[in-house]
Amino acid sequence: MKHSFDQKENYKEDNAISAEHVAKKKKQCRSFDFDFDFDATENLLKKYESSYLQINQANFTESNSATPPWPLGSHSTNQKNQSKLNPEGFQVNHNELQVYDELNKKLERSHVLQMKNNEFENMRLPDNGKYLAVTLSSGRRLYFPLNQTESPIEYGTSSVVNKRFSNISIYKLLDKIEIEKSKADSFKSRSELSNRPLTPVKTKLWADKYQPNNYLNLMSDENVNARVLKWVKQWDYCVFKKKSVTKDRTNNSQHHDQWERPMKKILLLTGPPGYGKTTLARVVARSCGYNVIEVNGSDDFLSYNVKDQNTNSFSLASNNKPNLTIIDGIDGIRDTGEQNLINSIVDLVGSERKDKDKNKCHPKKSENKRLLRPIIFICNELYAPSLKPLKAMSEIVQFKKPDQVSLAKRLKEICDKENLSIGMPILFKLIEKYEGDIRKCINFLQFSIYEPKSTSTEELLSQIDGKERKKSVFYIWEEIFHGRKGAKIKSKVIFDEHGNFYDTNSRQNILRLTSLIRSSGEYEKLMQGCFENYLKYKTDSLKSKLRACDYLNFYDQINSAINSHHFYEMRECLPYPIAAFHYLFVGSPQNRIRFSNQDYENNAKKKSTENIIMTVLNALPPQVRRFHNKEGSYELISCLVKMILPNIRPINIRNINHEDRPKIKYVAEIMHSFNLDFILNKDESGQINYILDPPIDKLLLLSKENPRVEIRRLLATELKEEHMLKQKFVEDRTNLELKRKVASRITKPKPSKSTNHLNLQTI
Amino acid sequence: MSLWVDKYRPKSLEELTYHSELTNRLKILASSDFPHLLIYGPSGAGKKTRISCLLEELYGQGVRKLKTDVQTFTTPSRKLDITVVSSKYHLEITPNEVGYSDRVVIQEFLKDVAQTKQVDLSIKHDFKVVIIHEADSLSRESQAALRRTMELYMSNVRLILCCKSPSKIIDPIRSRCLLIRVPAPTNDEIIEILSDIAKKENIKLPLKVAKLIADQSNRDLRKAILSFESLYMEYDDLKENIRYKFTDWEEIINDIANKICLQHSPEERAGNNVKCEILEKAAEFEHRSVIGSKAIIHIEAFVINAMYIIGRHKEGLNQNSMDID
Repeated sequence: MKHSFDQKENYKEDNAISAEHVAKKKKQCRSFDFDFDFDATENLLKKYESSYLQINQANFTESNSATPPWPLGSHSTNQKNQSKLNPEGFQVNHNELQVYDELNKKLERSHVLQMKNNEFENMRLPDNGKYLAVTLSSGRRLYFPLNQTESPIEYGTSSVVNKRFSNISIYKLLDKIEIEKSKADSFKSRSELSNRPLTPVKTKLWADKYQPNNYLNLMSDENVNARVLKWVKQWDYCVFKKKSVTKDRTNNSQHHDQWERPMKKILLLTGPPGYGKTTLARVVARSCGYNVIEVNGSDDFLSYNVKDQNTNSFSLASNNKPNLTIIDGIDGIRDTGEQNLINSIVDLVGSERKDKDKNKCHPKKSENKRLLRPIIFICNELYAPSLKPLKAMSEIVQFKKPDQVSLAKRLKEICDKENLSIGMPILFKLIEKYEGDIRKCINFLQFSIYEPKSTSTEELLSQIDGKERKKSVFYIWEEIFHGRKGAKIKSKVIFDEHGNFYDTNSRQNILRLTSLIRSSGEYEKLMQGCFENYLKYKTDSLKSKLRACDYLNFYDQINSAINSHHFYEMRECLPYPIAAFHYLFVGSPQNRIRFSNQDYENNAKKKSTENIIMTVLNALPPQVRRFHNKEGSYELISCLVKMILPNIRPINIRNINHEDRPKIKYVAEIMHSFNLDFILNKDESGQINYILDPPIDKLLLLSKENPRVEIRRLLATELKEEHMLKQKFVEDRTNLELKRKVASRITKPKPSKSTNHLNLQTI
Repeated sequence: MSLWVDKYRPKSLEELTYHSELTNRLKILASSDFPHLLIYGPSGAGKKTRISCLLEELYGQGVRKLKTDVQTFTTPSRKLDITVVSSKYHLEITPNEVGYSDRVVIQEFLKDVAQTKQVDLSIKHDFKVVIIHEADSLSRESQAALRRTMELYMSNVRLILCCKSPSKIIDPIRSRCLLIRVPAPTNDEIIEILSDIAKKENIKLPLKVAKLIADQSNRDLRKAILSFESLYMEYDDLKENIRYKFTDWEEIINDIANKICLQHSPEERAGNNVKCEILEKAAEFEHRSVIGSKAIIHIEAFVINAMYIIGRHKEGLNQNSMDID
């Protein structure tokens, strides 16, 4: 019961808040209709009513004079009852009173609306002061006098109920909304302001706005364009079932497979950003009548399914055009999950290659398994490891720098259209600075107009940095050893008496160089290249080479500190020893810088050598094995090879003298113990030779006087005998043991004892 | 049948010919409580031979029954295979085989062994011996992993660390071990051993040839015996005028060294001054290569330094004045 009362209270509170709000909002009006959110209020009232009725029924089933314990007798169903009620004949159930009191206490705080306990009082207009009118669904109006805050409040058990229902006043809430609104407005206006000031309506990037949509307008190299177009055209037969133009012209079946598709099923466009790869792909695909589907890093590579593209080749959305997929930024794939995209394509193309012959019998069955639509891949970094499997089966088109003159002309056109007055020389400079990145050039033009008018474009150009692209290691080596290309003043180095050097051309140079090195990040490779090349540069004395050695040592020491002790903060130091080479060896570019990857090759060689040694060592019986390790084996192998390829003179094998016989036998025995063997081998010229296995003689450089083939053959036969002998020996022994075992079993049929030597796990 | 190096390797402490004082000490060690050992010395001095003899002294002839097996350890990145030579009483590993991830081997393998107890009462000692070869190439991490194990499982396992130089072993481990140095044999000792082998093989070995071999071996007994055998195979009878054959790598290095010297002072042999300077540089660059990781850089640096020193020396001779620049 109490619970339901609380509920009632809540309902009323709801009403009151709104009432309060309206009241204050329209303070100036003396009377007004209570017309806020009418439906909701009514619903609430109805609910409240029904629950009230229930209570009433529970408590006053006998009593006719069921007075509402509630002053707000605004209930249509109770209307009759209430109107009949006489305030004097008001009978209150004891229980009810209690509840009523409680409610009153709760409501004491509030004093906005004055509620009369008498229904009649509410039904007529209050005499003075403000009031609130409530129209009920039945059409009856009730008037609630508004409490003047100044006026003293009457308290009574049931006469006046003062109410204020919420802790947070509605005004505060309203204010909050106002504030937020204004905030949003101001933000909007500000951003509008910042967007607006100079250009009136520009929603598009110029790079998009002026993107060529026609093959002839393309900026990329003519040859490249033609190659891409040709490749796409080669799909014509497969996709459109019509004879392709190119096929007629060339009439060369070599370029096509059995389904008249190009031999290389995938096109891979590669080149630095802003050279127009994506644009070219789009334009060509569109002009060849394909529906272009673009998949790039912003989409989930995973969601793209090659097989779907194959089967849904004619979807409604594509205006009955076949699909051509452009997969952009494929080199950005890192995730192994995304790698599946490449793998699935590779599998698809790879599997059809395998099934080529089988498919001839079931051409229809293979329909699903074939790649039916062209796919173009676009990447910046051709040598990304994830692309490796793809490269083998794709036609690779490398983009070149767009032609400077035509690019400048195009930029000029854009400038003219946009009312920008920028001269051609500046445009050339711009192109040079951005290294032919078309997108970046256009972006620069677009945003240059936002700069204050006072700064000239030339100043702007000087402000922007050159394109922060990773320079190749070769570029950096060039710069280290040959100086900066196009630099007017070659830096000159002066040594002082302590051997320290100064650059006459300021510290700016070294800062540039170190930042260049840092941006490439491939310290290891760079240093390796320096190490391989520095001796080529002739300097006056060994002095600079000595210094170079010290720098190399410095580098190595830091590097190993980083690697073994994880002092990664030391990485900061690594560019400096590399840059030092510039000061020691910068000279005329007479030598070509080469990077032979020697270090890696040597490492691989070392590894294979070690592997051979380990196979030899591991084949040894444990009694011998334990005394030999990798290090000591250099001597062991060296002597071993000399021993097993002995210097035996006789020309005719049959005439081997008696002194040499035991020697050969001995060699064979040793070879057997080291598990070495001669393997018959025929080289290209058909000459028979015996090769050592494992090839330990390959480890030695000086084993010139190999024994002749005859001796090798002799040794091989001897070895075979030795093997057989040993095997027989082993077999005999095992047989003997077996026999003994069997015999012992027969004599004493005891269960076999478990081994004495148990290893018990300590707990 | 095996090579002479293995054939005539002493099997027990009694058979050892040189370092008799050391042999006695080992004998005493084997009879008393046996500590962890750190045996070090140059290669070919007989460290491993002494270890095997010591084992035989400890456990008797049972240690000769050996087997090799390959144990596999898995790290998150890769699988590691390591060959384990073992008998009932001991195990031998070379953690260097797995390179940088030797810590896993040390931790897992050693703990596994250390936590098992020998229960066969017939065995003299109730501990197992674990021999770690090439302990100086153990990474710092694995050495750190070793130290607690050494203390905790002292009752079950004794370690014998075998290495060339103790300087790369961290201090806490050195303090837990008994350090035993096995010096290289002297030339006379090598000659003695060679002639002993010759006698057993029924070969005439002139003293001069033995001396030649001993001289060229750099006091490395293994190398001496190996080259003796290969010389014997090369020449039927070892006459006094035979040409000693260097191993291949030695010849290559000799070649390079000759070229370095020739370029600058064809007529003049280097004086003591120059030798000292070069030696100093050699020491410096050896140290650098130990600290660093790329040996080739330091070797090349040494060559340039040596060339510089020799060249300066020659210049000094010509001008009779030491011109620094």
